[in-house]
Amino acid sequence: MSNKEERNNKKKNTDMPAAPKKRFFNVEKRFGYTIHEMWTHKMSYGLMAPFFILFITFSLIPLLWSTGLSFTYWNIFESPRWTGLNNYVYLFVDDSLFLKAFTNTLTYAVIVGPVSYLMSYFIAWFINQVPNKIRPLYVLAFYAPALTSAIAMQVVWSVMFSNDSTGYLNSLLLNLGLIYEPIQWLQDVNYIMPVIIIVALWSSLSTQFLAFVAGFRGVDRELYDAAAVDGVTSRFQKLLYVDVPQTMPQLLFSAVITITSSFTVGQTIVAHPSPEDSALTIMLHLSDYSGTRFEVGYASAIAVVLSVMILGIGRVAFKVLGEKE
Amino acid sequence: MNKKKKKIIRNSIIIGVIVVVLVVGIAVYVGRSTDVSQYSVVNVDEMDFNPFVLNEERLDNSFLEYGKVLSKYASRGYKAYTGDDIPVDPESISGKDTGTESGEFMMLNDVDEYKDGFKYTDAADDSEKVITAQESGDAIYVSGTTTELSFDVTMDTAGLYSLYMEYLMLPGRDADMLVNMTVDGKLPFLEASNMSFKRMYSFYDYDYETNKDVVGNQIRPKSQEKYGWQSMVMTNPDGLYRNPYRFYLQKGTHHIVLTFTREAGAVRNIRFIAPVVNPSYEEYKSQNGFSEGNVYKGNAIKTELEVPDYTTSINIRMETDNNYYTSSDASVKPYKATLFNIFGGDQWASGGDKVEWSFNVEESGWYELGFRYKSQTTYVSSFKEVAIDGKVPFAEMEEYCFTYVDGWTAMSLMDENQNPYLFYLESGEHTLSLVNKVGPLRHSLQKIEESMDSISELVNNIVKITASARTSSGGYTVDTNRDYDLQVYIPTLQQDLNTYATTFSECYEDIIKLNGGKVTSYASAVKVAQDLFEDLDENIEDVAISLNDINNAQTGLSNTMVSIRQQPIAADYMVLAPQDYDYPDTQSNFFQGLYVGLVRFFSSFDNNKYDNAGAREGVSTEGMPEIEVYVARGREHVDIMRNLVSEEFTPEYGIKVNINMVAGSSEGLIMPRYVAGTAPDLAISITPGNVFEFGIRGALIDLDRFETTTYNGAEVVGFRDLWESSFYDAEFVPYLYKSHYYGFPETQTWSALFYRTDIFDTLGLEPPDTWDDVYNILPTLNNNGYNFCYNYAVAGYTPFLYQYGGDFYDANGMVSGLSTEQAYDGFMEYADLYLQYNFVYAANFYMRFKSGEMPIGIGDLTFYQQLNYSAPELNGKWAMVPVPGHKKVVNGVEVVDRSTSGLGTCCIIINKENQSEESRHYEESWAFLQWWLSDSVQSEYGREVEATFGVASRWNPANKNAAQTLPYTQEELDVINAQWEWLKESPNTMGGYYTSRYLLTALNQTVIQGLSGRIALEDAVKIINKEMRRKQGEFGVPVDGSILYETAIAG
Repeated sequence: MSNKEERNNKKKNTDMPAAPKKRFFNVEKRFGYTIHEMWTHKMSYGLMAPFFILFITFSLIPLLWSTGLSFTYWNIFESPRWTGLNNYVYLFVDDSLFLKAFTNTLTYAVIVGPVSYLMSYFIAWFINQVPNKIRPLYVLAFYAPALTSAIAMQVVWSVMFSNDSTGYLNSLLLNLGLIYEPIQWLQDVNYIMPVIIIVALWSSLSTQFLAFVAGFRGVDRELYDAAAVDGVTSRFQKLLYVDVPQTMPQLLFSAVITITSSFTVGQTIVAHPSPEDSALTIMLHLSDYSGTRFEVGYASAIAVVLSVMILGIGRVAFKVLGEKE
Repeated sequence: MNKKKKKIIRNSIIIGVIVVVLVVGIAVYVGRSTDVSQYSVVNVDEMDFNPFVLNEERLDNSFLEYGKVLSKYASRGYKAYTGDDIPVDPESISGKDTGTESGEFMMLNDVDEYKDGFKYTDAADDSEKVITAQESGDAIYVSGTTTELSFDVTMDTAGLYSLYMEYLMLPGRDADMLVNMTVDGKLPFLEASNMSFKRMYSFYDYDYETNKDVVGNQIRPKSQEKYGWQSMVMTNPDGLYRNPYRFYLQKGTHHIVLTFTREAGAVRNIRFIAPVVNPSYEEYKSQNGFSEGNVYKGNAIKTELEVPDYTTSINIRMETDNNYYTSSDASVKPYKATLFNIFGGDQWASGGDKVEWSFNVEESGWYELGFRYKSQTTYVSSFKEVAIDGKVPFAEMEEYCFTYVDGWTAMSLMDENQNPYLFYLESGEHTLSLVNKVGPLRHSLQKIEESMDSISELVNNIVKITASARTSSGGYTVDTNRDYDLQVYIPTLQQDLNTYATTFSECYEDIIKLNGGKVTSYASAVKVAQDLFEDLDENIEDVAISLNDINNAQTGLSNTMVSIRQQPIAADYMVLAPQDYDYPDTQSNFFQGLYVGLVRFFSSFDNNKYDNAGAREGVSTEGMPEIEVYVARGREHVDIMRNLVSEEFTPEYGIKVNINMVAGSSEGLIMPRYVAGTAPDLAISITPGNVFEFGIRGALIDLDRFETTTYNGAEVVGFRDLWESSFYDAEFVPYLYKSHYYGFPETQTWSALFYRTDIFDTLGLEPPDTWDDVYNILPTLNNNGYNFCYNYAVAGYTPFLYQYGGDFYDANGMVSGLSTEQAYDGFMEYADLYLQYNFVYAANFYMRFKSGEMPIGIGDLTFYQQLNYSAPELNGKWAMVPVPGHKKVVNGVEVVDRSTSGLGTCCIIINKENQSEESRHYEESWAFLQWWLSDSVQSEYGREVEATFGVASRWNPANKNAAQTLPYTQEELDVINAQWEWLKESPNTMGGYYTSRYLLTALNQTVIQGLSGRIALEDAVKIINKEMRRKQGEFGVPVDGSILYETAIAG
């Protein structure tokens, strides 16, 4: 008996006693039925509960709250004041910095998102080819950057991109005779974004990379045999015809993670405020308004716009990679 | 059945694991090195007379260190004088004193203040004490500025003499009195310019039972200066040498000049004496009639060392230790509550400091003398002079080595064959004193220092040949493709490199040997230098490209030189023991450690000493109004504050204080609590920018509402009165909003122009007074490879803006002030420092100042602390003057405008209108603030902070009267005060955070991208004004309005 039939049967059973007021009958019944169903599947709900409680408390409620706040003026110290769409009007019409932040974030996301996504996938695939015994070492080595704290990372990369001739990169280029005086990597507006992107790529092998590694491990061995019988010879063909379809769920999960993380990029190795705002991202713009200016209403409006952007692109990812059933 | 079996297996596995862990733990603890042994220490004082830098100047004694001079004397066979003392007739002394009205030196008893003797209050029992005029007969008054005494002394025989003096320190700034001596117009050796008289500090209120707070924590015993005449044979103030100084005086009459500076006091009874020669241990034994029968046989007598009679440094104090075996006279165990149960610790480290205890002996006889001590730094042994009754009993005690042992250890003083020394003690009262010494490591210190001088010279010579340029951060650029043939130009190169390599390898071995064969962490820098020079010695052509490596090695070595002098140690108790005494356990084992840890963990739940900080044994806070104070400072700072509150504030005002210690910037934490309606009453150490932001949003109370009044019978000084009596006007400008002030300055920094006197003397330059002077001396500096340090930042532009008469905003705080002509002129002059004068963007001024590459630059309090704390070798080689300014005419008089900012942190009182009536304690909060910011509390706090951390963490109060009591020299204070006369601050305005942001952009565009300064600045002004207008709109300020009002101060 399938789930559906079972549910239908139960519905029939509970429908038995007739109620006098038909209008409220369904509502009451439905509610009672839901409770009943939940009770029947209490184990599953119990298992889901920890996540849902956290999700609702720390993600859903703040999101709704902040959507509400985005229609107000609120400086934290005084009560919020209703201002209608003023925040959005200012955001789209008058805030020149937002455009700059938007461009920066988009540049960053467009490059870091796909590149780190593909990089993660291919590195995970390469590692999958490595013998079992030493694989964990490789995984650890590639995953380590994601484990390092932001501060440690900043220190390491600041030395690399140090503005003077003792910076590793400057020193290397000077020694090779490619440049004649040190480049101000973290001061010159032309270099800031590329530097940020390079650092971001280096540390981007994080959760999605682990998901891929796990995904590859989860591929049924027999499928390779079957593929071999069907005439698959090269490893690349295996990747294309076996691994990619089999790791679809991980691909989707990673896509969502990557998009969210690259749109919500905030503090990078270039300190905020950066020269000519060349490292200003939407997140930094947001925290600028909430932290420095105490305009939480406006910051909420930015947050809402950012969430809508992320949601929209998330939908696209689902469309492209989601299971088509 | 099966399940049961599984359970048994599982349980046994768990038990097994626990057992293994315990066994391993025990094994590790038992196996810890408790190897207590003494090693031999070379008994030498002299250094090789073989100066690295063989120039004419260094051969003159005035430029040679004492050790070298002594070895020179030894090689010439000069003998120590052995006759009677040669006193200096007080009548024959002539001199002058810049601190007296007449300019002549005075007798102490002629000074009005001390006519009837020197009176002081003993804080321990609040009694008036006096050092009578009779007691101070013949004493010469030293005013604390510059006192110069000159006299003639006639020697009948040539020989080595020591100089004996008696001195009395008068109240001052907790610093030493400096003494400089010349013989016939010349320094007898280099260090004769830097001798000192130290103060004494004693402790009181250390009885645990009467000095604990309500939760049972001991309150830190207080220290006070102990006054009295002391005698002293002049010696090295840093404990560098084994014995007091010996001066070589030929037969005949000599003209001696003694110069006293820095602190006030009195001196008398100056005499030249025969140098003290201590007997050897064997001689000591026979002199005191040693026989087996006299050896003490009774029980060991333990004396706790927590409370000495006095120490010569305010920093060395009793500390708290949680070891299971650490003992104390108090009834409570240290791990249950704070208890000051040991003496010394990290601060008991620097050479020259002396500590004295007294103890009682009931039975005359020969005793072993033992200590329970702990070396504070891993693998660092500690050298000390051990004296009984003020006299070193035998030569081995001149520099006794407290060997490094892991953790606490107790052992008798013994020789290198592990035979304990025996000391003869008559029955009765005795004193024991320990004086920190650098020990035989002085040789390594000396060699490293000389090598470094020599290396610097070599590097300069190499740079002359390679014509290396310096990059913005100070590295050398060298053409790596070229062979420079350095040996041709510097014939001694090979030999020099070889010498350095050998010297460093000797030093490395010595350091290891003298620390008991352990590789001390500071030795690694020496090893690095050794490897580098060995490598260069073999590959001499690499020298030119290794200049940066050499630079790095030198940095490491200079840190090593500081570390060698630091030999911290902590002591628990001393033992007078019978021969071959078997010490009880002194190191806690695994279980004891675990037990202590657990007890401490659980007692931490109910032992919060910061809630109800004012309460202590005997002071009930029942029924008092309660205020909560946010303090964003470290634990030690808060502890000091808490003690002051419990001693002075709560008893006097009857207000219960709850100190809430928060990390980092506390303002972030105030916000959510304010919104939640549970905000604290007041907060201190807040950054000024936030005060304005909080203030305009109604979260703060305007402080100018408070008038002078009384609270609970105690005086409460009002806002204006406190300001006028003790604070600079400029410091209030940032807190002004619509004629009200929302913050009160708490700390305040200063900046000054630091320069190397030695380099300036060589170059024949004067420190600049104005920026034009700076530009005038720059060519000379640059020609000699030196540079001026002024780092690139928005803060660097501020003085230029102020000195041209500009400001960041207009008088109403409505628009940016950067569009004015003054602002533009200042901006361009500042940009030109980098564009025209090629200033380095960002340099580590401290390192470059030390190495001499940047002998001049603008530094602040932090820089001053670094110099004092980590660069003792530069003492006397640098000075500070007010920062350079711009000349202008004020009221017809030409002055140099040195306007700079000195903004520090501030205090605020939080508005609690959104909370219940009962929770509002504005009056009480202000009572606390005015108490906290008052002259006396700020001075006392500053003194305690200095005592806890030393100069490295000197307090910087905004209270100008309190600042005068800090241990700066008078010259330094004059500079700081002169600079503070030119304090200038900008108001905070709505949208003002854009100023620094877009000013930085404008600077970058001008300096780094080379765009037009005027366009960059005007663009910035446009953006800043737009944001300011936007913010003003938010708060409903009309375009032609004002947000400041009290323009008299802003302008």
